[in-house]
Order: sequence, then structure tokens, then C-alpha cells
Amino acid sequence: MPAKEYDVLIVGSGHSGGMAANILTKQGVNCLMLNAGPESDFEHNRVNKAVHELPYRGFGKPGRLPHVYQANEFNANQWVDETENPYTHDPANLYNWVRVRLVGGRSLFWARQSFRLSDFEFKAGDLEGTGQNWPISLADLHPYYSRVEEIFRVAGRKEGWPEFPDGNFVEPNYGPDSETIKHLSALGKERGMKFSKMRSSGGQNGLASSVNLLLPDAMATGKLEMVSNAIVREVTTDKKTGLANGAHFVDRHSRHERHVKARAVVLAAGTLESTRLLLNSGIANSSGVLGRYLHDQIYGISVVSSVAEARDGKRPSGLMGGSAFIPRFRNLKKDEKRDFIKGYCVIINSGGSAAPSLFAEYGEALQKKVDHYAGSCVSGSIFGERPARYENHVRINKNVSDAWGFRRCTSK
Amino acid sequence: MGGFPGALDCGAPEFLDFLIGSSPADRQASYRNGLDTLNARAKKQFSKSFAELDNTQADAVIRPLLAPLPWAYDLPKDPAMRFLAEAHRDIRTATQNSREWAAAGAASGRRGGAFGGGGGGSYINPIDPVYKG
Repeated sequence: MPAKEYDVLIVGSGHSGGMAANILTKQGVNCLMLNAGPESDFEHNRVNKAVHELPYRGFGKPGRLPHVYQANEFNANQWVDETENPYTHDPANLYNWVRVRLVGGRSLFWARQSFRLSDFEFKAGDLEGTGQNWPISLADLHPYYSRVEEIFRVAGRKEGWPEFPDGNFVEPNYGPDSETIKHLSALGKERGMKFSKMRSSGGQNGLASSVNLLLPDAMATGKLEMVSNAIVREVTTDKKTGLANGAHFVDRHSRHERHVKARAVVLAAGTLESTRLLLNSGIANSSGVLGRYLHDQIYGISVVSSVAEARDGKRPSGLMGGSAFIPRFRNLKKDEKRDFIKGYCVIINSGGSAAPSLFAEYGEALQKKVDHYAGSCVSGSIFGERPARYENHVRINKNVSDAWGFRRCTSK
Repeated sequence: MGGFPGALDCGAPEFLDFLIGSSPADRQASYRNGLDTLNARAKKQFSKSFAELDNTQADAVIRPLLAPLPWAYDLPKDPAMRFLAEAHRDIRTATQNSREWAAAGAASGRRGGAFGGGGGGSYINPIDPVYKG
């Protein structure tokens, strides 16, 4: 890497870093992108195996990835190694921090659900009389959403509902609704629910990632340099202006430390890694709120029911199958009586089976129950917004370092 | 079991002995305490250790500890019930992910069942030597 000054240093190569590189390089801006992990070539790194060929029969090596509930023995190597990159949390308050350190980051592994936020979220302060409005609205974001939806080829059905804003969609391929979805939709309508469909990024060639949708265009401009296995330790600042002017980083293998200069720095290392970097750099925290107001979505399976006519393997054709999306339908009116704030959506899936854990049975009796309900189930899962609270925060744990000696995060 | 082998046929006890033996201390403690509870209940009800019970007696010990779990990640709070839920899930997984189960599935031309049982997947090799499996 030449010892020169770049216009912009981008830390991270996922959705955010990839988009920054894509947009900036097309404007002729010289960028350097640092990635904490290696490049991965999945064509070469993947191999088909039967689960019984794995050393731990699919359970995974015990204790290796205690916080990654998506991890299994097949995909264990795609996640950040928690022994190399530890973090701590209050034992009474579990915090699952799911991380990927590969070129492309978590954009390689996401569920591709691509919804727009609405002004019911952006202007929740006005709607609910508590909390704050965002300083932006859907109208401000609309042109940006449209550009991203085009690049990621988001498929969706346009509805014209303000609580579920339409996007710049490619033609969806949902197929006809099954009888159960039609029936639920009719029941939901009586209760003020609207039924739509999932909105999902199709990507290209089976991948909807920074690696195939954002970085190739940036590389083609000749304005982007990428360095992998470069772990940023600290963002440096200009002594006179106080502005960010580069970063110290180490090579993951050789552990040699280097410094790179840039006129601006884009931190796109993920919510908590970017926060950790700022905290470890001692910058951008005059307000004292850096790392605070940490929040995420809630989700869970709330209801599983079974359609009697579809049990015991008798599934009349057209009865079961398919999915539906019920956008937020509660707390949409100012004068609505509330027993909770904010809202949630429901994702309906038809034609599934009942999990064995739903029955207080075992052995042959359990298998009979599972077989009886197989294919006859309809499930509804909720996804909801959580309020941001000052008390929910991450800070630096001075007693815990990663494999490269950098201080790690703790959450509360 | 509908043409599929049971846990004993699939070597689930031996496999779980190996798995729990190489697991972190909290999981080992959960199994140790759970088995102690089953033994204590067996002693109280039948003056025998749990392993010595016949099926009807074992059922009388186990059944009060079984609970339906609406949300698979949300295990019961009671430690004995929690152990039973965990052990039950582990036994089923160890059984359905065994070579024996896969062979039975292949022989009958049926798929292996829940939890990817007897199935396969796309295994991601270690990306580079720093990531030690």
C-alpha cells in the first residue's frame, strides 16, 4: 500500500462501507477501505457434507459461539471467533452480539427483508406524545431508499398504505394465495389488519451483498483500494483542527502496526464496532451519549395454530402454503387508547409443522403428535420496535482485550 | 419409530457423554444436577436409581417434568424441567443427526425428519488458519 493520503478512509466493507465506497468513488473520490477480516471465496470454501460427518453431529464445538444463536456446525467458521474477539455483559442481562469479520461483513448473511420506515416511526413523538421525532421524514429519505432498492432489486407488492410505504420495486413472484392465507386475510380485515406480502431483496446470482452489488462498481472506477486483515485500533485526529485525519491499524497476521492518512473517515464497522472505535479513540463524545440508547427489534413466534382439514398428511391442494405480512396496525391514531407504545408487524407462514418442543411428550407418542400436525400449521411471528433508553448502553471494559491487545466492549 | 432407529440404536448416549464432557462447566453442571434430580425422584418413588427403573416407572418420574415450550429458546425456569427440556432436545438431535438415522432414511427413501435430521448442508471450511475450528 503506497504511503499516500487518501480522500476518504472507509472502515468496514458491509452494506454501509460498500455503499460509501460505491457512491464516493463514482464521484471521483479516492478511497481506501480497511477490512478487519479476510476475503472469502465461498465457491472454494464451501463443501457439501452430511450432518453425521461433522465431529459434533451438528451441535457445533461446545462453547465456541455461545452468543450466536444463528450459528450451527455448518456455518461456524463464518462468525467472529469469540475467543479472539471477546466481549462481556452483565450475567443477568444476556446480550447476543452477532458479528462477521469477512470482506462483505454481515451483508453476506442477512434475511434480505427490505422495508421502508414510515412517518409513523419517524414522527412517533407527535403521534404518541412521548419521545422524540426523528429530524428527518420519509420524504427526505425517499430518493435514497429508491436508489438502494434498485441496486438490491427489492421485490414487493405496492399497496399505497402510509404505514407501509411502497418502494422502487421489481416485479414480485408470490404465486396465488392459499385458502388459509385468504381466510386469515378476511378475518384480519374485520379486525383492522391489512394483509400484504414480504418485501425482499433478490440481489443477483443468489447473493445480495456488498461484495457483488456495491464493491465491483467501486473497484471498476479505479478509485478504491481495499486492504483485508487490517484491524483499526484508533481513529487519529489533527492536533490543530481536532478533525479525524486517518487511523492506526494492525495487520491481523503479522501484527505490524501502520498508519494511514485521509481527509475524512467513514466508520462503517457495524453499530457496536464503530462505537467501540470512537470510544477507544476518545473522540466524538462531548455529549456523553456515545454507546447509549442501544436498541434493537424484538421478535418471536407468538402463535402457532393447526388447520384440522390438513392434519394426518391430508392436505387438500391449495389449502396450505405461502406467507403474508401484516404491517403495523396498532397505535396508528393519535387518540387511540394505548397499553403499549410504538408498533409491531406480523409475519404469517402457512403449511409448516409443529416443533416437537410444543408437546409435553417423548418417544413414540411425541412422534405421533409431530406426524399428526405435520404440514397443517400456520404461524404468526411478531417483529416490533423497541424504544431507545439512555440506560441501555455499551462501554469499554478496560480489563478485557482482544487477541490484538485492543480493549473490548461490555454491554448493560 | 416409523422405520427410524431410536436413540439407543443411534449411539446417542455415548455421543452425548462425549459432547457434555467437552462442554463448558455450566452445561456439565446442568446435566449433573438434572441427573441427580432424576435419581433422587426415582429413589423416593421406587427406591431404585433412575437407570434401574422400568419404562412405566421412568415415565412416572419424567412425566411431571415435561412441559410444552411455546418458544423453543425460552426454557422452563424450574431447573429440573429445564434440564429435561434441554436433554430431550439434545437426545433427539443426537439421534436424528446420526449415521444410523441417515442410513434408515436412505433405505426407506424418506427424508430424515425435523432439525435437519440425517440431512446435510453446505459446510464452510475455516476461512483462514487464524480461525481455528
